[in-house]
Amino acid sequence: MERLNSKLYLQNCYIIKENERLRKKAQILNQENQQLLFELKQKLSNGSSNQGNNNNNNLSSSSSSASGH
Amino acid sequence: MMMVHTMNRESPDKGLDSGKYVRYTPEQVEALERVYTECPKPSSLRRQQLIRECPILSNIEPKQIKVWFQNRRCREKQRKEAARLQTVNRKLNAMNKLLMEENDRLQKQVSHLVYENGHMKHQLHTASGTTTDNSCESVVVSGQQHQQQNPNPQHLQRDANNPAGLLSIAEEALAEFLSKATGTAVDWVQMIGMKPGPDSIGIVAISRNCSGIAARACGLVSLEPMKVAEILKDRPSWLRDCRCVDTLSVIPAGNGGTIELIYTQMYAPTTLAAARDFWTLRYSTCLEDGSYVVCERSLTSATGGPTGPPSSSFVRAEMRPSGFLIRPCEGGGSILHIVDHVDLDAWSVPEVMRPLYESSKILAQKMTVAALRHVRQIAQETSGEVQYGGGRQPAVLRTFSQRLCRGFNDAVNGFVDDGWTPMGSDGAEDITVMINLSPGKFGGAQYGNSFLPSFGSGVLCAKASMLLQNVPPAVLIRFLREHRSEWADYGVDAYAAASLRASPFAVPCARAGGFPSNQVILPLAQTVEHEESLEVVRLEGHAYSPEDMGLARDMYLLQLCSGVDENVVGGCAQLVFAPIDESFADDAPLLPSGFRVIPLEHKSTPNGATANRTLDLASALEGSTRQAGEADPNGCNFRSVITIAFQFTFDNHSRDSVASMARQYVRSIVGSIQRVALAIAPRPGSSISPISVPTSPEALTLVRWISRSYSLHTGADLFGSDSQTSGDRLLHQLWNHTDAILCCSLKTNASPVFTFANQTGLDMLETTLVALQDIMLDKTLNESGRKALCSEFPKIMQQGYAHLPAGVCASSMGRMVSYEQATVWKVLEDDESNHCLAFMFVNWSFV
Repeated sequence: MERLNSKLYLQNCYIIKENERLRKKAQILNQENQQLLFELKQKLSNGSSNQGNNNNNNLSSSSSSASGH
Repeated sequence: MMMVHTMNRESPDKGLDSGKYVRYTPEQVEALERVYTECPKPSSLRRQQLIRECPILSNIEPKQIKVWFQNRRCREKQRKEAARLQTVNRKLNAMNKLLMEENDRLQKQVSHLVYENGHMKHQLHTASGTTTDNSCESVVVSGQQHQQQNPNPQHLQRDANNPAGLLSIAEEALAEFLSKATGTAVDWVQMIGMKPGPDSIGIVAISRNCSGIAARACGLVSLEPMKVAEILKDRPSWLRDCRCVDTLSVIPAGNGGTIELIYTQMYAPTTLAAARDFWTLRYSTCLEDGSYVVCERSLTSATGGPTGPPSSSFVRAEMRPSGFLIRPCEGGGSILHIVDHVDLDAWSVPEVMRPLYESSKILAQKMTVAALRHVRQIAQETSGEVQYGGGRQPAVLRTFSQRLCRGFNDAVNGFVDDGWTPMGSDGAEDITVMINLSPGKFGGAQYGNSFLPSFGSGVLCAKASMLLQNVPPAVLIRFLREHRSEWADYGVDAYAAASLRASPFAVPCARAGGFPSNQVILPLAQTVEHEESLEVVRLEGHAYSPEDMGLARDMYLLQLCSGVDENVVGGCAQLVFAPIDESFADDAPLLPSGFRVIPLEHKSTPNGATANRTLDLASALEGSTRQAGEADPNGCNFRSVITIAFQFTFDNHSRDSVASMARQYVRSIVGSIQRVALAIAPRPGSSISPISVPTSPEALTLVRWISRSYSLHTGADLFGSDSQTSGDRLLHQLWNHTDAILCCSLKTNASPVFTFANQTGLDMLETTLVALQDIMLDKTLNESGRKALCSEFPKIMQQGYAHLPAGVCASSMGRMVSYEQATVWKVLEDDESNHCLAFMFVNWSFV
C-alpha cells in the first residue's frame, strides 16, 4: 500500500509538471495566435483596400470558446 | 489470533489447542476489549485487580493478560496506520483524477491552438488579395474570451417573471458557470502563494483580463456532496463579510432542482466606500453524471426577471455566473469546484480604493478560498481530527470568531438600520464617531437589559482609515498583535473591561505613554490551515503608584488574528479583540474593536514570468530581498489601507467624556501606527543610498549598452565629461541622472512598452519598475509627440538617434509632463544588434 501511495504521489508530481509545461505552451501558442490574427487582419484589410473595400464588413470576430470543458 | 508463549496449564475456559496458540473465548475477548477502551495500558496492579474482579478472566495468567494488552496495542497501531494509508491513498487518487482532467483539458486546448495557428498560417501564405468571404468567416478569435457576449436579443423578449423564464435564466447561468469551473471561459492564472503539497489539495486560480473579477478553486474534501452543498449554501456561516441573506422565494425546477431568489447584503471592508449588495437567482440541481451543482447569478435588466428590493445605503453589485460543483468520489469524499465571479462596481469607489474592488486575489482570499477552507475545517472537525481548544467544541469557538468579525464589521460600517447615528466631530475630520443607542447589539436581544440598563446609554464607536506606503499587511498586524504595549493604553482597556460588567468605572483619559502592562497570549484555536487563530489575551496590570492600585488587575480579551500566515503572500490581515469575562461563557457579550489592513495592488501588475526581467533590474537597483516572480506587496512602492475601529459603552452621564476619550485614543493609535509603519517599511521612501545597491549583470549590461550606444551614435558622452564607462558607478550615475531615461521595447507587431527607467523616469511616469511594463509608449506621448517620433523614426533607425522637439507627455496617473527635448536612440547589444530604444526627456516637469 505504501508503495502504491508513493507511486501515485510521484505520478501526481509528474502530471503537475506536465500541466505546467502545457500551460506555458498554451500561453506561447496563444500569443502566436494573437499575432497571426493581427497579421491576418492586416492582410485582409490590405487586400480589401486593393479590391475596393468589399470585404471589410465580413470581418467578423466570432468568439467561440478556446477549448473544451 | 493470539501468539502466546507455550502454555502448560490446561484450562477448560481457555480452549487450549495443540500447544502453541491460546485462544480466548468470545466472552473473555469482550471483557478484555471493554477494559481496553477505558485503559489501553493497565499497570500490573490494575491487571491483577482485573483478574480478581472479573470472573471470566480469572483463569488467565497475569502474564497472558499483559501479553494480550501488548498485542492489542500493537493491533491498534496497525489498524490506525492502515487507515491512514487508505486515506492518503484516496486523496492521492482524487488528486490524480483532478490533475488528469486538467491535463486532458490543457492538451485539448493546446491541440486546438495548434490547429488554429496552422490554419491561420496557411491563410496568410495563400495567394494574397484573393480574400473571399469564406476565409473571413473562418477567422476565429480564441484565447481571451470576454464575459460580455453580444447581448442576445431573445433575452429581452423572454418573460422572466414566470418559473419557465426563470428556469431558462437558471440553465444559462449553469452553462456559463460550468464553462468557467472546468473550462477556460475565463483566462485563469494560477495564484502564487498557495501552499503546494500532496495533502493540501487545492488549486486556486484568479482571472486575468475578464470583466469584473473572478477566482476559482478546486479541492478534495472528505465530506459527502450533500453535506458540502448544505454548508456552502449557508453563506453567512463562512463568509465573514456577509451581513445578511434573505431568500425571498423558492421555486421548484424540474428533476428535483430548486430556484431561489436571494437578496444578500455584504459589509464594506473599509470606511472609505459603501457596502455592496446582490440580488441573485440561485439554481441547485443534479447533473446527469451524478454531480450536484449550485450556481448563482444576479438578475439584472439584461437577464430579465423580477427586480430586487431597493437599497439606499448599498451599492448594487453584480454576480456573474458563479457557484460550486460537487462530485462524489470513492470513499465518501467529494471533489469541489468553486467559482466566484463578481463585478463590484469599482468605478463608484474613490480612485485610491479601486484596486481593492478590482483585485481577483482579494476576492479569492475572502470568498473562494475561505469557502474551501471552511468546508475542510468542518470535515476535519467531523472526523475528529481537530483538537478541542480550551475544552470547547470547535463549533463554539467558531461562533466566537464569527461574532468578533461581525461586531467589527458592524462597527466599521455603522449602518443606520442597525441603530448607528453619527456624533458631531470636534473639528478635526480624521476620526469618525458614531453612537448606537439600541440595546442588545452585541450579543443578541437577551443581553440588552442586563448590559445597558439605563436610558440614554449605548455604544460608541470611534473609527479612522489611513493609507500606508510600503507596509505589508501581515507584518503590521503581527507587530500590533505581538507588541500591544506599543499602541494600547491599559487604562482604556481596563475601562472597556469594567464596563462589560456594568460596574461603575471612571472614564480614563488616554495617557500618552500609557500605563505599563504585560500581555500573555493563550491560544484557543487555530483553523486547520492556520490562516486564522483565536486566542485569549491576558493583560496583567502593574500598579506603580497608589492611585493606580485600583486599576491593577488582570483583564481578558478574546482576540482573533487572521492573515498573518507567512505562506500566503499579500493578502488582507486583521486583528480583532473584545474584552471578555473570565468565565468565558459561550454566550458572553462581545464588543469588538480592532484593525484591518488591506493591500491595494494595481490590477495591471504582471503576475507571472513576464515580470521577471523587470524584477531582476528592480532587485538590482533597489536592493530588495524579494524572490523573483513575487507580486507587489512584498516589494516596494505599494499601498495598503488600514481601518481602525474601537467601541466603548457609555451611560447617559458619560457619553461626552467617553467620546472625547475615544477620539483621543484612536488619534494616539493612529500616531503609533504611523510610527510603527515607518519602522517596519522595507524601504522608507524611494531614495537609494549608493553604497547599498547590489547589482546584477543584467542591469549593468543594459546600462552599459545604453551609454555606449549613445556615444556611438551621437559622438558625445551621455553624462558629460565625467562619464563613467561601466560598472557600478555608471549604474549609479544613470540611475540618479536628473533627466528621465527610459527604455522602450522594439517589437514589430506589438505596441512598444517601457522596459526600464531610471529613478527620474519612474518619478516622471509616476510608476514603479514592476508596473513599468504595462505602460505603452503610445499612451505616454501625446499626438504631436507620436507624430514627431514617427517622422524621425527612419532617421533613428539609420543614423541611430534623433532629437524630438519640446512637448508634453502624460504620466501613468494621467498627469501632464512638459519636456524641453526628447532624445531618442537605438540601444545596441555588444554584437551591434538592436536591443531597444532609449528615450531621454530633458528638463521635464509636471504641468
